[in-house]
Amino acid sequence: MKAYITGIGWLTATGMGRGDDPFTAPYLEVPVPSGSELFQSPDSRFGRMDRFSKTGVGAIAMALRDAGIARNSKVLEAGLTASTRFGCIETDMEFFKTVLSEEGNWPSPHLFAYTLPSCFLGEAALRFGLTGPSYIVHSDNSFSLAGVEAAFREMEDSGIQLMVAGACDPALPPELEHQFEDYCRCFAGVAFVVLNSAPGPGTKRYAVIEEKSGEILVNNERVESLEKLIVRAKKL
Amino acid sequence: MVRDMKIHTVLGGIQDTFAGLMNGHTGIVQVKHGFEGVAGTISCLDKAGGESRFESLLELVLKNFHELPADTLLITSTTKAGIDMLEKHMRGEQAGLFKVLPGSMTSHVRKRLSMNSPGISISAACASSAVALARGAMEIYSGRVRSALVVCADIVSEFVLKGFGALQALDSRPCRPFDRDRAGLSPGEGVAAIHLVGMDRADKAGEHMLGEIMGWGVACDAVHVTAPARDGRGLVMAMNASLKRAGLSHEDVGAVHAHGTGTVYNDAMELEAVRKVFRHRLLPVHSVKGALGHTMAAAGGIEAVLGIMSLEAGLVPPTVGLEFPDEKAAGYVSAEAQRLSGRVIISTNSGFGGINAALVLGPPQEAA
Repeated sequence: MKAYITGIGWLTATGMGRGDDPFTAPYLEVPVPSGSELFQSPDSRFGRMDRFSKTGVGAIAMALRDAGIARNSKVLEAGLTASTRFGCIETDMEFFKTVLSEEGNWPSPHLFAYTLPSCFLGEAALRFGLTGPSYIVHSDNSFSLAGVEAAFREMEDSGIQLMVAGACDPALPPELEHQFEDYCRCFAGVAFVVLNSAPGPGTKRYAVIEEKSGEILVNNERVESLEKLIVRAKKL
Repeated sequence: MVRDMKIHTVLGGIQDTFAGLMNGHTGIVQVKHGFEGVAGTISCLDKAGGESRFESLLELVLKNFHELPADTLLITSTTKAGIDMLEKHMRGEQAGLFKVLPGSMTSHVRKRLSMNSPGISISAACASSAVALARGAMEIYSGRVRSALVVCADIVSEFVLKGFGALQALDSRPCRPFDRDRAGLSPGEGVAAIHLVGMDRADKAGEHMLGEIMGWGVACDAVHVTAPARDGRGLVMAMNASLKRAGLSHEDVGAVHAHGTGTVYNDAMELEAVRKVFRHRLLPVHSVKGALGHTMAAAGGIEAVLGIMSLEAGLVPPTVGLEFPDEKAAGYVSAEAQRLSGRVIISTNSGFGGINAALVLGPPQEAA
């Protein structure tokens, strides 16, 4: 199975970026974008999202913008798959604080709605009209390729032409780091690529990506992480 | 092909659960576990002591699970894994947060069953295990793997009860799917383990297979994050995709094992989607959630197993809790068992984020 990378977008400690912008993902806190930085029209709901969802939707928006796919343009048969290591554990804790406070009388419905790691995919889907499969694949590593592999499965199986795939791994708050023995301060951030199996004429193409015997190749070179995939695709 | 399947719910193991459903029993009661609410909880998990109830729940299906081929792919799904550990941690008690991560479930199952597969863990809200089964079936049909184990589980906790309560999504009595007076869901605990094998391996083993996942479809509403699309668009797409994948028409379907949470909008959306896909053909539609509660990420796995049991029995269990069918549910749902009106069943689940999944379940193919 082969596809073209037609859009790249990210949100890391160095800020938002897409396409040919310089890309790095240092292990530092990721700044949370505002709705006005991402969308031309007002988006009142964006401000109410948890941090995890804001960063996830932000990177997806950047990748889609890079691929020339505008918000709310039309319903698009495209799916979303992402990997994550810690998911929305920070939001879980924020929500449970509201359970513990005030003797548990006023838990936040608003925070509870974001205590599933897949919710930000739904937020992105409704903003861009993406009606394909959307789900999270949990991984033991940050910036894993599990989301990209899942996208390939969906393209191969259902014939869906367009998938947005990536990883949502903002840095953990320092007070949580010691909770995880093998915690690696390697990469932090959120990054997505747009994969298109049959891009039309005039569509930007960064590289050919394929899955062969369980490995992901970008222009015939094996990559082991999403960070390397993006660096390789941007070089070409 | 489904080679083996195990579940454990508030009504017990696979046989007890199916018999309980057929007899109209419910396991949903007022519970008290340091938190209070109306839910379907499994009493033997209370012995977990300082450990997570989650691992005790998994043990109910992993214990004595038959030996798996060495090349078996592991796929797990859970919404909140050992969320009770996060509760303890935040109350200042000693509790490892690692068990809260869904990936920890994969590690646990892999070690417990001595599997080689690193495994993957899928989260798609309350459609998680249906998506996991779709992925397992996809891997088998494509020939990439010849054996896959799907394990799904979720526990009821204060986190879950208070969260759904905050959303005003809980019924104060055991939930009543498709009822005129339905008022919300009831959370439930449950676990399922389903072993899928390719046809070639099924033939070679010469064993009796239990059923088949013939088709699958996954689609997003792209309408709202916590509310379903009222026109059922995502579920219609998922059901149609599952039938197309199975090479079947809607006329082949004998019943719909619906998500049927008992919330006003979910059940209305499902009835709308069923009407669209089956073009006003009346066929049995039922929900197990009035008996078992909403087992969240485990729902799709448990309901697929019960769907295969229904195929074998030729009967769809009663919708427990149903008293006064919703006007739009008339002719579809029943408080009595109903005969299947076709050779396959569609099992559906929907969840936060607007995700929908449908599985076409059929009887086992004859060995070649």
